[in-house]
Amino acid sequence: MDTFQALLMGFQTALTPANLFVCMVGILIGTLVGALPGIGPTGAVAILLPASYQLGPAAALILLAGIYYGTQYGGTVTSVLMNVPGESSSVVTTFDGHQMAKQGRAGIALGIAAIGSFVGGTLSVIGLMVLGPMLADYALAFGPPEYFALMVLALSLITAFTGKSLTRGLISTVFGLLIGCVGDDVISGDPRLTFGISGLLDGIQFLPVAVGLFGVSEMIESLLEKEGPKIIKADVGWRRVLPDWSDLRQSTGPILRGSVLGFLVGVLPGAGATIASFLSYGLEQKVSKHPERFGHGAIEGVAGPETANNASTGGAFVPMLSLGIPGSGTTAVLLGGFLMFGLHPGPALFKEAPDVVWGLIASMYIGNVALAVINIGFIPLMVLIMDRISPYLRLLVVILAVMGVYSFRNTVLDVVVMLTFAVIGLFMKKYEFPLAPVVLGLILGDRAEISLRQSMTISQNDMSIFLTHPIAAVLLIAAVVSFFLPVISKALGRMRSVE
Amino acid sequence: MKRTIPIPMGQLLVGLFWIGVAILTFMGIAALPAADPGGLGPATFPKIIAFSLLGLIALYWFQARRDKPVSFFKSEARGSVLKAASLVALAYASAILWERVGALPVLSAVSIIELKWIEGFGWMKSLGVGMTLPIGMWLVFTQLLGVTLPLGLLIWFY
Repeated sequence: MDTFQALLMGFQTALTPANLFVCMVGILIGTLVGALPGIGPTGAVAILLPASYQLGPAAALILLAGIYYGTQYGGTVTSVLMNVPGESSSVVTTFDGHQMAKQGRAGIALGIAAIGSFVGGTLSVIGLMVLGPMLADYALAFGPPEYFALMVLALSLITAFTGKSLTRGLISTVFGLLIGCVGDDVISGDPRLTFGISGLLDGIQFLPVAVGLFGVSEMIESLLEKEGPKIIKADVGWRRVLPDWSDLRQSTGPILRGSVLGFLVGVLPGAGATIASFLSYGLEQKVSKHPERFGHGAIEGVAGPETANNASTGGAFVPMLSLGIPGSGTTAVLLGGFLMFGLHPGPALFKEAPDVVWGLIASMYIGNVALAVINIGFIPLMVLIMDRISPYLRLLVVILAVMGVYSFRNTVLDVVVMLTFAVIGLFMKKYEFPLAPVVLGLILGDRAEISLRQSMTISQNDMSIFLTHPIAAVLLIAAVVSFFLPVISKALGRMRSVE
Repeated sequence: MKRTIPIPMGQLLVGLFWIGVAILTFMGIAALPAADPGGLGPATFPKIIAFSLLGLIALYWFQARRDKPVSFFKSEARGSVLKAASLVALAYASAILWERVGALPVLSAVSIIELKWIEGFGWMKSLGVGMTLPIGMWLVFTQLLGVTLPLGLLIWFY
């Protein structure tokens, strides 16, 4: 089946009334959640993951993906109107977006962000369609040593690029790997780290851990923070969000550059939307003839980063769907969603569940159109809803989390696990331990262990198997390089500043 | 003032927590064989990870000597900490009572308490929202998504 046929089949899945409805709901929730400071895309996807379980694989994944790319735009609203980024990838938008709002151009800032998000999102889905199956075909030849090396690469990339300290990142990863060891051993069936608790024989489930770490802990943390700033009352009716020709001319270059940059950054595990948006801002400043305008309401400073952060979402799906490696905390949670339905993202997924994969990809095209329409036409409504929901957000999240996590396996143990991880997550954030590596370690841990043990059985406990298999060796070298790259670049930076 | 311990107290306690995790791991795999015939055993992987964790904690403490102290109780107002602790306690209480009392009664009670004492709303709003929100969510989960939630005390009405 060629790509075009597969995509047509995907549209058949995505265009059913139920899936279309689910896609719209996902985008709306994502946009709202992205706009509400205090709950990021990972938390949103994690909280709604249990509720989506009842919908079946295709609809659930379409819903969750809709939430994911919806959040990337939603953060823009608060960045522009409140100078408070809804999530980290919208931080850059505050630099010029809020300045534009102060100058009475809030509508234009939001409008150009919506257009950029649409273009970036759509181009990145085309990139995903081309690159995803290619990479999956190539990875079909992987054996246990190559898989083990791939897992090491994924873990090292996400450890190296998330958080401020490599040591803290590693501790988070190791913690995730240890949680993944709880339960029956995958090969011998011996119970490990269960301490006689029968409920733990199936292992600590990914879902309560993710909901606790990313969703509930955010809500507890929000109680420790002071009251947030108020929304600037601006006229953001649909007539005011359509940019004029001069704005469009100024934004075309940044949008196209942001699309390419965002997609490529998204493909790299560990990088993601935040880095994409910062890189795009830096790039636009570099290529601009008037860099001094940046920070004072330059439209390019909104168009580029907003395009890049949406384009990165399509990119992030490439390693996840074709190699089974999530590139960020959110895609790690989405990967958990696949596993929840018994689907194993990786090279075989495009062949084993083409309806789900291509339905998801097709829904992204539809979702990007819907995102543009919703965000251009309904910004005033979004601001109103945001204003109404925010006082009850904590309660809503806690209820959703408790009900959702319980309904996953109908056991209170999962709720207790969720709450315990919410508290652990709170302390981890306070002491600057990144959370994404915990989830990644938990998800990839047992696959890494199986691959390692299978490799050792094949080689009769000879570790050189990882060096004699060329692909495995290259991946391991890449892992070592990527792991030490931030340390080396930091040292070089220090040397330069001394000079 | 010079610290009596070279590491800030918060970071010291965090390190001790991780050591506790490593010790629990060693205890949890103590009875398992390290190696199976012809390959690695079920205890090998967790053991490697637990030893790595111990090494990383040593490194963390070494680096923490230069860190500023981090504390929940100094940087935040005491009232906020109490509210956060109450929210956690309420959530744990709801988990304990979930099956005995039932999902809807538990969530309604938790919602009213949360809105009144944690969010600081008036009685009318707390009762109104505190009843409607859980009922709405209950309907979404049970009727729309087909999830079975424990009835608890509501069983009398059936």
